[in-house]
Amino acid sequence: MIILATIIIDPFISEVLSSINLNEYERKAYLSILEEGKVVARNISRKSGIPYAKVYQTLDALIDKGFILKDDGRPKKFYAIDPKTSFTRRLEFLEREWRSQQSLREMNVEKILPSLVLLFNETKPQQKTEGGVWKIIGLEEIFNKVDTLMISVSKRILITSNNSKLINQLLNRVYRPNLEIIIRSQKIPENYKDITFIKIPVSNSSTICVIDEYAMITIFEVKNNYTAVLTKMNEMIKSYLSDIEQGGE
Amino acid sequence: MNREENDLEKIKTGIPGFDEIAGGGFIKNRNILVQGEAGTGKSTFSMQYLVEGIRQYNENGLFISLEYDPIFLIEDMKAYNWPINEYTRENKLSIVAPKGGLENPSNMNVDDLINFIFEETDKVNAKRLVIDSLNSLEFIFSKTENYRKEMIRFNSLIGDLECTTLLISELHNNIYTYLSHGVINLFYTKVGANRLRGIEVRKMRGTQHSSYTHAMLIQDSTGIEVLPTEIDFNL
Repeated sequence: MIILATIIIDPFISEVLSSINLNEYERKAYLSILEEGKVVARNISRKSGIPYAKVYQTLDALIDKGFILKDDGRPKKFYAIDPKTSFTRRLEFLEREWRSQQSLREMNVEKILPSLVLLFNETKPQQKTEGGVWKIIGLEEIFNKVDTLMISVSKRILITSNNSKLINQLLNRVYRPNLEIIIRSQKIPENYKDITFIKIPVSNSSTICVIDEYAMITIFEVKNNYTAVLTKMNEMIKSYLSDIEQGGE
Repeated sequence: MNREENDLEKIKTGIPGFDEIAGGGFIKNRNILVQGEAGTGKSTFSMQYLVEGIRQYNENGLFISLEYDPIFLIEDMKAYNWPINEYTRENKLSIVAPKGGLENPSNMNVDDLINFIFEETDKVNAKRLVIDSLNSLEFIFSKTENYRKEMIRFNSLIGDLECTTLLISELHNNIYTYLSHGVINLFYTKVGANRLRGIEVRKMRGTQHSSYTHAMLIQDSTGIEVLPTEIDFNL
């Protein structure tokens, strides 16, 4: 008796039972039955404090979940199944249920994803494109775009800037062995090997990064807010030719 | 007697003459409907069932009054010289109204009522239970989505309290006539210039009972007495 009284208030046991989806009444009823052995519903109600009107539905739920059984006859008597068996079965059931739910979730996500991606592409605020020209807002987004462009880089990176901090951040992202990197700036940074520096007058208003001469990112900074314009030459030409075909200029 | 009757344990009501016409009494832990029009003696019959249970069989009793103040009920029963106050003091008998009193019974739902009955039964360790009345219960059940289902649930939960329960009702056709294990009809019928009392065991599952309507007396100081003689109100 004393041992069970401890179990009832043991928060860890309560937490574990809760984690396998036993609600408060089910936990109390189950532990009461474990202590009492074979017991009628009204005694479970007395012992556990579960309202009598709720005790039968609680016990039926425990039967459904495989923790107890009941005798036929009136009044019905309830008794526990060996916990080794009932808990093993319960865990197996929950695992099956989780897999089934996960499978359903995956299937449903797959169904809705194309329309969500479409919606995202139509409305995403960070990047706006028109004829091979993108507007990118936010430094993180700009760097993400640089990372994407660097996947297909093969020859040369040209950075033109007077912003030393931004030069360093870009170098950290674009540096590759055997890749020609040229930096044009009025301030020559130190501690970089294999990089060509050209000291020339450069505008302070923007940082320009040209990648393989097919993409150019011009980054503007106003009070620590960064915006960039990305121009992809081939797509710009493609868009231009398409406009001509459709009778545009 | 059939086989089922032999197997079922019975309790005697202790009401003079009644157990004889009921095939030995009520089947233990079953629910019985006691019905009749106003003035037929339903409350007296039920209270006597509780008093005799304590006096003769050492079975404590609980009277749940859903529509009549327990104080008035006790006063009404004073004529019979039953030791109601003594039994109440000794915690053998309890006569109670729902929590919050009778003024606003509509606030009570089915679960509240079931829990209330369970708690009160526990307090006196009742083996005999009277619920007065079915008509008040019907009012509570009428607020639920599924009247019949709730009535069946109520009947089952009360049945598992291990009390032999009398449910008092005005005479009318109701679902409980079918759900209950027994039905007792009480009469107070005008014959000529007089009124005569009668009692009939209309239904008692698993029991060979009298099929006659028997004459019944309500005596000052002793209460109900059922006579073995049948009565014909058409005479």
